[in-house]
Amino acid sequence: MTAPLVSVRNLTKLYPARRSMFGRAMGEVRAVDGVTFDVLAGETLALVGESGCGKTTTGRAILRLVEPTAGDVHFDGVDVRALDREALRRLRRRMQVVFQDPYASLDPRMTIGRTVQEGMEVHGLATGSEAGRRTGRLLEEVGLHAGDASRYPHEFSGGQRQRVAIARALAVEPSFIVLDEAVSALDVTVQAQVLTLLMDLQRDRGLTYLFIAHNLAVVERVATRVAVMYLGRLVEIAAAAKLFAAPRHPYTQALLSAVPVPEPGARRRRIVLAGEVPSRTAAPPGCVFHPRCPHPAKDAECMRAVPPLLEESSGHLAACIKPKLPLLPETP
Amino acid sequence: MTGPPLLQVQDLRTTYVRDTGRVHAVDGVTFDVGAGEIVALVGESGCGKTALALSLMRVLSTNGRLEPGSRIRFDGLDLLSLSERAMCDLRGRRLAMIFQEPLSALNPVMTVGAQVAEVARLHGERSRRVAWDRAIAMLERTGIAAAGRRARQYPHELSGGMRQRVLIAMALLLAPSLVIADEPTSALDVTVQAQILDLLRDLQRETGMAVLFITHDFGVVAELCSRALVMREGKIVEDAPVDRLFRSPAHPYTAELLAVVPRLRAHGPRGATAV
Repeated sequence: MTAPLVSVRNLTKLYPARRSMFGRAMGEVRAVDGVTFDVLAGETLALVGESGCGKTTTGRAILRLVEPTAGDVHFDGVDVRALDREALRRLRRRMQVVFQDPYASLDPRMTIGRTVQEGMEVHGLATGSEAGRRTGRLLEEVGLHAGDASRYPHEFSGGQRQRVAIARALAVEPSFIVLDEAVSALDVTVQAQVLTLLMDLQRDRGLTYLFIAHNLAVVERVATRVAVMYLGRLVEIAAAAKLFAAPRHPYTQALLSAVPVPEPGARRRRIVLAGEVPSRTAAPPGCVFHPRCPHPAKDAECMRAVPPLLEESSGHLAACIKPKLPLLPETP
Repeated sequence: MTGPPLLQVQDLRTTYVRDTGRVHAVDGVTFDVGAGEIVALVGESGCGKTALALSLMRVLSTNGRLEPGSRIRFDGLDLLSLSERAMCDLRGRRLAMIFQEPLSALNPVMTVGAQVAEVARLHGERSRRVAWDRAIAMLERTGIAAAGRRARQYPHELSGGMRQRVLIAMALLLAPSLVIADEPTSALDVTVQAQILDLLRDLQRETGMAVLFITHDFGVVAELCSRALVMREGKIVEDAPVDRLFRSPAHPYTAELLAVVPRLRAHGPRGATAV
């Protein structure tokens, strides 16, 4: 269980920030900046953070849907960045992705049966009537009907389309799936059903998930471990229960305290972050969070160097050089 | 509370023409909003909450219409018998709306300061200078730092949170007595959402305005609102004080929604009581 299926080391992705009149790049955006973590076989590692923190780019760089600028990605011992086109194509059978918007990721002119079957055929897993039978079984497994295979994406609701996208990913029998905000666009009742489906599939098929999301309450429900990103950097990673109960990094503490509690009269104690997330073209030196950090011991040292991810307690890592401190005031 | 409520809606029906025929988006809705109250309108996508908001503002698209028998009384006025001109004057001045997606609600080729100032100008402010100064003051009030400089920028130059503050400034400039906010924080990150909710709460206390807050997030309902209307398939299925709604939902649909709301259980640092 504890063997890493995916290991990511110093993953970095830079984009040219803007171009001059003559098309020359002026500066760069550090979308993902030296990110290191493992995804263990059979677990759900959640990757969380606010818009622009680099979580989606990290997921895509692992799959090489975008080419990393630097760093290493190993999948089941294979150096993913060293693979040529054909080898990468073969590896993709084992690494799949489900995106947020099933409208955009399903071909509107293809029946969902064809969409699901295509991957099986491309990877030579099944053809003809065998592929048809498997597709029917898969559709049933994700809660649709085998007879739905002849229908088109527009005939389905958002939740059903997301089930189709899951069936398409499963068709090639992957061991690892990147779920990129896969339930974020769904209404809560549908969202709960799709989450249950994902957890059932994980149990039955021994899948490993990288669950990219911004909704922390959803993450708490499904994650084994959680990694928190801010401005391209990984700031904290820990077992889900630990991270939610005793977040170490000031940003994680602020992020958790900002989630509205569906409980009237709950004591609202919130760390209000001043200002906004800085531009990624002009990321602050040292700790990227220092300009907004509420830690009372914050000082010039925080600006000097990028704080390393240090192990606080077993399996709980955080990138903060200041003493561990709960930043919310005690309730009177 | 004495006197009639600020807003009284009775048997409101809104239909849209679709290729499949007439669709009842709002299907016989009755409720009140008192002066100074913050009322949530909660429901899932397609339940008719936005159609209801657009009906109250009388800004339905051309394929939509209010059915006969619908009644909206606002501040003593029968909204549905007002001329379009009178309605125009009312919008912005006494009844305002904040939309979810500020980028599409703002004019991309006009500076944000000019857009806020335009609200004052449209409602009778003759002096450009005065209108501009009022705009800057209001932008400052919504927490925009260096408002004088920001006012000269275009919407695309601002962050999502800042654009939402600009829309709030436009809506509140003329101190309306009712603001309809349609998912104003749904597209924002949680830390920015927290800032905007604080801002709305402060402005409400300061001005005494009433707010009809449309959302699908029960967390936001619990934190901001005193009463909630739960909407499903064009109908209001429950109307209750927020405390009671969470404690003992009367309608099975409300109970079902509350049961599936994702919530943080182990929130150590916030010290809230676990149920």
